[in-house]
Amino acid sequence: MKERIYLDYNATAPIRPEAAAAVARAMEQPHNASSVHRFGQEGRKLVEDARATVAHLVGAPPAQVIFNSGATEGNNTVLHHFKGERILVSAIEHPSVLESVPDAERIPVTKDGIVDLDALEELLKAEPKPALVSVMLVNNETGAIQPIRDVADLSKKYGALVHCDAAQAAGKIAIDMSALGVDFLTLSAHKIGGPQGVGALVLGLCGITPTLLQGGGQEKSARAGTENVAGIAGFGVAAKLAAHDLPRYQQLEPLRSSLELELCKAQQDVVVHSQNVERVAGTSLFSFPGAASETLLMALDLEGIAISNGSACSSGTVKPNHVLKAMRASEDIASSALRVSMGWDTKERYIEEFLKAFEKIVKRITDKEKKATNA
Amino acid sequence: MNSLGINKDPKDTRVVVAMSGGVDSSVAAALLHEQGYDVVGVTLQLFDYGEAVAKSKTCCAGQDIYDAKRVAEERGFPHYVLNYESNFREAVIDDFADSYLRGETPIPCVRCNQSVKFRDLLEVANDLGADCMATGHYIQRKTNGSGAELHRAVDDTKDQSYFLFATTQEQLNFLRFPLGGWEKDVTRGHAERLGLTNADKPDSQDICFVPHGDYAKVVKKLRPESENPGEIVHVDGRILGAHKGIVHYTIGQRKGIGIGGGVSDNNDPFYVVAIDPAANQVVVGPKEALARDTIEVKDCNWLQSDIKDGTDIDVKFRSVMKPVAAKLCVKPDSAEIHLKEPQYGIAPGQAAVCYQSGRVIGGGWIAGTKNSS
Repeated sequence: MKERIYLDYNATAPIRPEAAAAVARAMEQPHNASSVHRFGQEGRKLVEDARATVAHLVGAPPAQVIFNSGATEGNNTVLHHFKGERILVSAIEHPSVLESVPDAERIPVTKDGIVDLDALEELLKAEPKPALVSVMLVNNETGAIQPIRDVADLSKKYGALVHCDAAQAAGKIAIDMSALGVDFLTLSAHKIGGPQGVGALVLGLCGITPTLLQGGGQEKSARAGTENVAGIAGFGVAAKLAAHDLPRYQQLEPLRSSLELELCKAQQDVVVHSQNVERVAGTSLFSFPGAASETLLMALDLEGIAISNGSACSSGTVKPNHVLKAMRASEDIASSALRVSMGWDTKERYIEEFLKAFEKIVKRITDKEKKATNA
Repeated sequence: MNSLGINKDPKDTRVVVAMSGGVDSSVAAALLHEQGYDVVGVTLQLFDYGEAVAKSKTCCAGQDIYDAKRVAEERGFPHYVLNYESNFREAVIDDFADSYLRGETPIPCVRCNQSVKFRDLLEVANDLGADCMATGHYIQRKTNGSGAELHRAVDDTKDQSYFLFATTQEQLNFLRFPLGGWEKDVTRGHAERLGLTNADKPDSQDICFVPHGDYAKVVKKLRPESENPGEIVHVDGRILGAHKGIVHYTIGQRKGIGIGGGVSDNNDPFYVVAIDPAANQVVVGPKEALARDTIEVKDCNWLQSDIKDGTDIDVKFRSVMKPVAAKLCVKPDSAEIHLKEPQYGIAPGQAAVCYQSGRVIGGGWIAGTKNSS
């Protein structure tokens, strides 16, 4: 079988072999980290070691890290805590934020997909004063880095707390939670080469501990349920590697540049999104107007190349890209968007293979169109 | 030549299979995959299933998409779901509702085959580099020297030719119907042999976007005016009563008209003879008033060139009926079908499909009917 090429890291990154090994090792023993016996104590060590490395990844004290099942749980936990109060969320947040608080007011973004700070300030000024502002650190679709420091400064000025979904930022840019000035930060292990089903909520210094699950004293009563010791162990290893490999991740920048350059060379009407703003190195969202991204995605997959065209649903169907809509992209642009996202195991030739396949498919589609117009 | 009539090895022949999630298309896909073809399963998400049954928007598909996906996963071939909700709404659901407002009786399945499945999906199959597209329809495609022909299925009870009359020659050249030569039992047998998860699934009876067969509810929701009450009048002009919206009536209908029996002089039952949308009237009369010997059809599709005026054909003007003898006169954009014997209950909006000894030579949409005798 032909080698398959994976370029969909923002959906889930391939697990680091070291993380997978740590998960497997941890699963060999019955580790209930709350148990008194030696098995429990060994489990506890795995959890606390991981807490230290995850804390280090975001520049927070280990005691502020609460392990949970992932960024969706983290986002839900924080937003639910503020239900009934005024909440501001950016229009490009992940559905786990937007759908947690459907009544929250949306902070618009610029055409480049950056949260509009002037609009934020207007919203902050209005009464009653918002209790919480939620803005992601890096957008999952465009890769655009949001001005969280400025968001936090503004929010503080008007007395609002700040939540930041950093699932797509960890391992891609350096994160210092205290420098960012955020009160709640959410992380997901599988976006940084750890296992799926584990993540963390990191608390700032506001003293509030939002809690969703009750019924056990785990995680200092902040998150009930037996700890996912194996998952947490894998998360810890992945966090350590992600922090160490931050400089290596930046080397994806020239690779992305050449990808976008080649795309624009081959197809003049390709539009690259958020190109004018700072983005994480390994994400590129572009549109090829005239071709449905659904078709391109399928055709590429049949060529052995896995990329994405928006937020996938559980059924595998695709919803309209709400991020591009918020950026006021036209219907044609929004429905023809494709995302290439790279990470720790992406090789230069993968991009070459992608370009080859993309050109082949586009040629097939445009040849057919030419045939149709001539007929 | 491989079994699909393409001059390639099966493994080099890409077949897009339109999978509905039912047994038939699942068997078609699984069998072609078993024969070594490069099968790509595609299922269309045509409407928001959650919204149709529970009024809540979901992004999730119904059971049918799940079933199609499970078959593909278990057999090990790729499968994709295409969201065609907006195409389907425009081409099929809106037309379905509007058709009732025009006093017609629509067949949305033909519109869907004609637009969404065989136009839009076929284009996607082309874009995917497919050599052909297969479906689980019970219909036969036969080739002779001059191109592909469409023929009734071997299993008369399953024959779907009526719903596929609008397939164009170009589409037909690209399409394959692997089940058309079989009885339904054979398909079920293969489903069991292959251990398909949906082998025991009953055949679908309803229109897919109409939950529990309550089509009037769907039309009402889209076009509230279809529920405007009006008069029920006799063909002789007498007003017999009130109706509760023309959506509830179809030509040839006898039951549930809502005026009871006993109004006619000899106590004969009344039938819906005509629907007049402009006057919002339902016209009823005795059975004789339904008799028609000429059908006018429009938006025709012909699968045979040079059809001579007065060609002998058999015609179906309802999906469930035996074909009846007629003569066909094709005009540039329409056609007239002259029935040998007068027929009853021919409803505008339905299709009139023409056959010559089992071959589908085409047909059109019923625009009007006449009775010359």
